[in-house]
Amino acid sequence: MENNTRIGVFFCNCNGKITEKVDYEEITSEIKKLPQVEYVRDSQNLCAHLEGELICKEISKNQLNRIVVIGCAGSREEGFFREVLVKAGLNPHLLSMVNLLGECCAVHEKNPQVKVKSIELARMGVARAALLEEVKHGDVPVNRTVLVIGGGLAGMETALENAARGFKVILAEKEDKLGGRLARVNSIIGVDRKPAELLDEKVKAVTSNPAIEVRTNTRLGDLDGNIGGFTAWLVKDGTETPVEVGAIVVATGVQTIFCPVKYGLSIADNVIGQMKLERLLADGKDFNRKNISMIIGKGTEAFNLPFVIAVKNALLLRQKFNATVNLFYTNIKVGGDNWEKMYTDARAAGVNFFKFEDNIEIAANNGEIIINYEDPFLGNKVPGTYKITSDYIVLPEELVPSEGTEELAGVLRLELGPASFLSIDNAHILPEMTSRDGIYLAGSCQMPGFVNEIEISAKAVAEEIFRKLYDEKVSVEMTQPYVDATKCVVCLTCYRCCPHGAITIEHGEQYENLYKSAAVMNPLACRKCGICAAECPGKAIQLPDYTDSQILAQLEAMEVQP
Amino acid sequence: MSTNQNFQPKIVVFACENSGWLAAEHAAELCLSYPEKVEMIKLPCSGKIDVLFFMKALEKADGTAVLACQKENCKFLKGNVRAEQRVSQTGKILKEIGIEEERVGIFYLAANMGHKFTEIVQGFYDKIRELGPNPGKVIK
Repeated sequence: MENNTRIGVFFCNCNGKITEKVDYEEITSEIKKLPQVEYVRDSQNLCAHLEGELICKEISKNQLNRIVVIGCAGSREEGFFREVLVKAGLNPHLLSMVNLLGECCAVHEKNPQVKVKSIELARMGVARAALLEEVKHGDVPVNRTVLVIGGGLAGMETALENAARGFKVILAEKEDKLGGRLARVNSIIGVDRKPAELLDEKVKAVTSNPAIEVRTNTRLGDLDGNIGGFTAWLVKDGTETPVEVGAIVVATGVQTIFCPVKYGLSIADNVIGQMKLERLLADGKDFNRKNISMIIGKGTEAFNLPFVIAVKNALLLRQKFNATVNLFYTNIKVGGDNWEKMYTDARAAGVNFFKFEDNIEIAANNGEIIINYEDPFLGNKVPGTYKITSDYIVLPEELVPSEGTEELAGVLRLELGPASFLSIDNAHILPEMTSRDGIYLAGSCQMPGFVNEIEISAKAVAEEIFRKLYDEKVSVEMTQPYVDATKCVVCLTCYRCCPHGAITIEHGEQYENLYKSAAVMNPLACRKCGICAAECPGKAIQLPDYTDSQILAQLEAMEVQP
Repeated sequence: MSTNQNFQPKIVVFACENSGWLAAEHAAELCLSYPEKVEMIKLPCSGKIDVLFFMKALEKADGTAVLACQKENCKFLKGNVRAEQRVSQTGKILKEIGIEEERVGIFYLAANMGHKFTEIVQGFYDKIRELGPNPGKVIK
């Protein structure tokens, strides 16, 4: 192919926008002098549909095999011209685009320098085109088993959603039974059912589903491989068993830590946390006509959950037991479906809301709680501290990732985000995705979440896995970097610097170097950033469309002025 | 080195296609002008930048820079950090061979910062103009 490179250059006027500033004749006369350029033509508007057909004809008539488009280089136009190339029977990657409109015509006035620049840009584009390489499609065999870590509601829901899409599921739970933390809760916000009922139903559905294999007392010990071909070592009673899976969903959830010392209190019967209150309510404890104080604040404001739980429980205590509920807050965050209504309902039902800033003192005295606080609003008119006594004080718990999240992140090669929760890749694209393809997050392991969001999250994860692993063999464009095994010395630089963990070291006789091994990029997990190609000390890695020779050729095509 | 008033430096800018390249397109949409002798080369991520590219660019131009995503906001997590290290590595090499290390730079911006793009390019251009012509250019 190298000896037979025939470049076709298509010049777009963009309805006169380009020729207004630069001269077509001058550029073409320069380009025609370049070797390998076989065909040059201009057009009024190259991205019109009829032009596409014309380009197709010209490509086959002149046997062109590299195309340069001089005009604009937007992603929309790029997609259009790639389609044209495919129609003409060429590989879509044999296209070089020169952004003459954006880099020359829109930003500069007409002057001799613009002429020089436009010619230089065109030469750079042609130089790059001469070195373009084909990118082929390949079939990758994948494993269609999904490993779900964590048997809480999120884990079970994800397992069910995946099973419904035809995947085999392994559900690993570190405790001896399914259920997770939801079993300890009295009521759920936004879901009109008892948690115990809901859990029973899910556990039954999971255990009766033949596609789901439940492994209790099991945790993930080690992990190898990439999307479509993970090998996970599951640890049970000290013994490791490897399982082959295609994707992994982490649903390890959140844990709460009750810390009354932060408020100057010690553990007592009437000093309780929100989780304990839920437990007491579920057990049927009577709070009839009691005086209960609740606090939100002091460093628990990072998430929505403590606010909404406090308001939910305050409303419940007020309505069910006719209790006097005082809610002390520094800030109220109730942004969500129907939560604002819950807050106004709580106010209407007679829950007392007290705002404080810093000045609050809580003391427990012979079974009585005494709260002294200063109101920042009333303080201007009626200065001094206010004193409130009550029977119970309910404190918010600290929300931290569940035990072992850090080790799990190490095994999965993921980064930890804010407050040590597992970090998501991009909140705007798909909040369930991590920096590694094939590993997804569901439920509260990324941030304390709500039950009514779990179903959506589980469905999103299952759909994403289905999109990636839709069949036993998936077809992918092999745009991942390729490694020249003769140059690879297995130094592991690329393995360590890959932000997506897409690189594995493979061994075999086909790798022609001293070590009989080389780094291999997984086409499914790679996101084509080229960091490995730049980091490689031996220059063994090349990223298609951006190979070193292509970029250096562009630089080489520039003119030097003293 | 005498500073010639008419000296117009040539700059090669490597742009990450997720930020710098799009910022340049944004600048073009807004019709903001910047010096003509600034050439851009598209990279998939600023982490793709290589010392070799910088050195090659300095054979042809008076200054070279890479445009990366804002810190902690790289699409590929660590690409801009890697680019920063490449820039300092290139700076060291340049210093060793007697060329000002300011001739290579890294700038952080987002895709919707057309104005910032022209500001950066103009600022870098002015800085290189003060430095004068690059003594390491290879003139054939």
